[in-house]
Amino acid sequence: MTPHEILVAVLLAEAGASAACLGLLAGHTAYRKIRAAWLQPRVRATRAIVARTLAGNDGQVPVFPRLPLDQAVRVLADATGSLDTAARARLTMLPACRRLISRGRRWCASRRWSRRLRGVRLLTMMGAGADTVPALLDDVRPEVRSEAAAWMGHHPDIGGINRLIRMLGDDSLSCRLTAQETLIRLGRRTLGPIISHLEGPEPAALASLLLIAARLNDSSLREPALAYRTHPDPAVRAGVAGVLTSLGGSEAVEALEVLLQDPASTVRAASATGLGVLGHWPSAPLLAGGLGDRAWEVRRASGLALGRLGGPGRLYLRRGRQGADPLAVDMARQVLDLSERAAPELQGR
Amino acid sequence: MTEILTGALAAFAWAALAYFVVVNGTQTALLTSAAAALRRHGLRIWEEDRAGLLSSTATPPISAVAPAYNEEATIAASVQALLALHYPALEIVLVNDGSTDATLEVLITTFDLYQVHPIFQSRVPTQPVRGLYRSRVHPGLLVVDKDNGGKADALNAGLNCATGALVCSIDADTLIEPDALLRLVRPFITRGDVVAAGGTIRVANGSRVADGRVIDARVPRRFLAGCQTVEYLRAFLFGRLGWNYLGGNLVISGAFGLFCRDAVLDVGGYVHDTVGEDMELVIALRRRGREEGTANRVDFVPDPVAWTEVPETLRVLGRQRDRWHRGLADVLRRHRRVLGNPRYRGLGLVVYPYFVIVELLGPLVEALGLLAVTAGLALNAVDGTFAALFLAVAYGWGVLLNLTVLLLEELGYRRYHRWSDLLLLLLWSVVEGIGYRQLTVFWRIRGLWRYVSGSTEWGTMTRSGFGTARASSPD
Repeated sequence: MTPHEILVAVLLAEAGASAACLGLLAGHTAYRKIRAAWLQPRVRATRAIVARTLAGNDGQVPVFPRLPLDQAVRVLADATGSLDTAARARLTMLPACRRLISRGRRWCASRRWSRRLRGVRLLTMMGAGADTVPALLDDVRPEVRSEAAAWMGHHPDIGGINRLIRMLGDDSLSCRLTAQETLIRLGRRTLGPIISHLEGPEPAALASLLLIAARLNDSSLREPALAYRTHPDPAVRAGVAGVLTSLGGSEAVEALEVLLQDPASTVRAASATGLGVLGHWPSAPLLAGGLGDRAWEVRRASGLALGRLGGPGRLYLRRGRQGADPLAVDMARQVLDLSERAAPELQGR
Repeated sequence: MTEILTGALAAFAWAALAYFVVVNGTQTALLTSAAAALRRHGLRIWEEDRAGLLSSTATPPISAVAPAYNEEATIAASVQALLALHYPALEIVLVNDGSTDATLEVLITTFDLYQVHPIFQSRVPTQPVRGLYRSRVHPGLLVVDKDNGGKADALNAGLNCATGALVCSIDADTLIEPDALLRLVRPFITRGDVVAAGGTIRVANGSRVADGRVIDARVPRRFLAGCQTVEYLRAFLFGRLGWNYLGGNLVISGAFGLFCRDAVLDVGGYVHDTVGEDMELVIALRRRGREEGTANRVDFVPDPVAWTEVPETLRVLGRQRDRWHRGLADVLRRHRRVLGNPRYRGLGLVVYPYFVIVELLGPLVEALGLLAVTAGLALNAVDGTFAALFLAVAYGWGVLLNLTVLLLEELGYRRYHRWSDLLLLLLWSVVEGIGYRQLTVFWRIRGLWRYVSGSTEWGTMTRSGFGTARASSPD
């Protein structure tokens, strides 16, 4: 072929590809518009049926208008977003929902990860999947494992909770975060398994576990948590400070005061925050020492903690403001400047 | 003499042809990668529970840092729009970069601000901070008032004062879709090695805007804005998305990007003495991550969208492109050690060379090619039919790329709902290669020339505003 012929061939190919693109573009746009017009009344009718079913005032089993799968899922996703598991289960009396559930089950067994992911999401939406989803907590794909972990939030059992606790040490960040989030949402149901893991021989993901434990506010966690106050990992020691903060009591205050001298700044900051949250004013002199700490987060936590202690704390802040240490002066000024309204907001960060 | 010239022209013609093949080959690879990435992304986000993220403890706190300079007319609406973003732990850090108008006074009045001492952890140096203000009505709003130091300096001051683990750099006049942050945060909660993520920027000119939101997306009817709409779609939908799989991104738009705050502060924040500070930051983050074996991934996420107003006059557009190209040249020179360096893997061996050869030198090659063809035709060294066919192939390739991007847009996002908008987009896709492209080549070469001659000025960006009067501000 001569260069001319090559260029002509390329030009023709470009023209053909452009024409194909144009055709696809116009065709898809037209299809989308026609489909939207066709779907509109059906979607409206389906929404009405779902609403009647959820209200429970319809004696007979209604029949859905025929809807494409994506639209049926969309309508149900809109409806189930704010429903509890029982209300979702009520929807299963609809034949269309039962069909979606069996499709979700089939997808969960698919070899394609995207299908399994869809399957779990569909079953979560429908409040079903107890027979298929737990197995996917050990799926090879993190996306699927993570979604199965979120599903467990609606269908908790001891085995599942234990599996979620193990997932806190998963290689994938999304799995770790979802497991943590689900365990926090499950609340007190996780107490027994968490204590068992904390007291177990080789607990994994201790820092995350303590973070969840701190949300449970249960005194039975004090001893298992205190066992880790000298753990080599600063994140774990900070976690212990978090648990102690959530529990309070003289034993907790004593331990927090010790942790205030920890070599790691994250631990010192967590302890200072804890003492502030507990409102333990006799700790004010110790916290005042933290105003001059070499780490910013410790100075900030100490200052805010003093701010929360009321009169005694403010006294130490004023002394700090007039002291010789410029770091302590700066922090004391900042905290004293905060209005009553802004301070709690800052404390939360 | 003529023979030597003819020989040189012929050699150049073949070199230009080779360049054309390499560039188009890379773009085809990018397009394929973008289509694959888009499909994968679609599979991942199918019916995902974004509402659940709103009440999640897993979402890292975000500080949205927005620099503002002389924006008294629009600042209140801009901040209201930022405060209305859907995100569970969001702090808005608005940096008043020494405005000479009543920007600060408007903020104080509108948001009932009260002053607190300007004490914060100054991890990167900035111009002096005059004051910090908190709002009595919106506890999540922090206003930093500082001496003028330019956009990079304002962003650095915002970084110092922010408290979020992630910081989102936002232009105060960029319209961000309400759930954009929930979408943009995804890479940070699914992977542990991400330091930055960017979303899509779309052109807002011609669209209907109310309360800081684009409520009816329209394709601009004016030539320059229309061509830029296609250009932005191409740059984001296949350019940046394609790089996700081919070595990672080198650019996160300064108008809408999410970064790990600690990582940004560790590299010294935004660099002051360049006009390409956003690109410089991304390369610095990636370099540091590679060198220290820490997180260094930069992801582009296609579905979070921010809308921006693009220039509609040749003068302002020319200045903008000139500045962008100077920024590109400067940043690529600063980090030249990355070029071809296997230590940086895909960044050094694929992405960086592409940016040097195609993005930086592309306009020069295009201009020289056109000159050579003209000279060749004049000297009868180049066959006229061949030259015409070659130009037609080059133009046709541009149109085909644009059409493919429009198809991706239609299949993936469908932001424009009317037939008239689709037809307008098609029109701009076809005419963008005639005139507009050549103008951008000229501006970019001018930028390169001005960079070589040492110009570092920003120029002034004039905006007409989203239905309201808009003040001039440095872009």
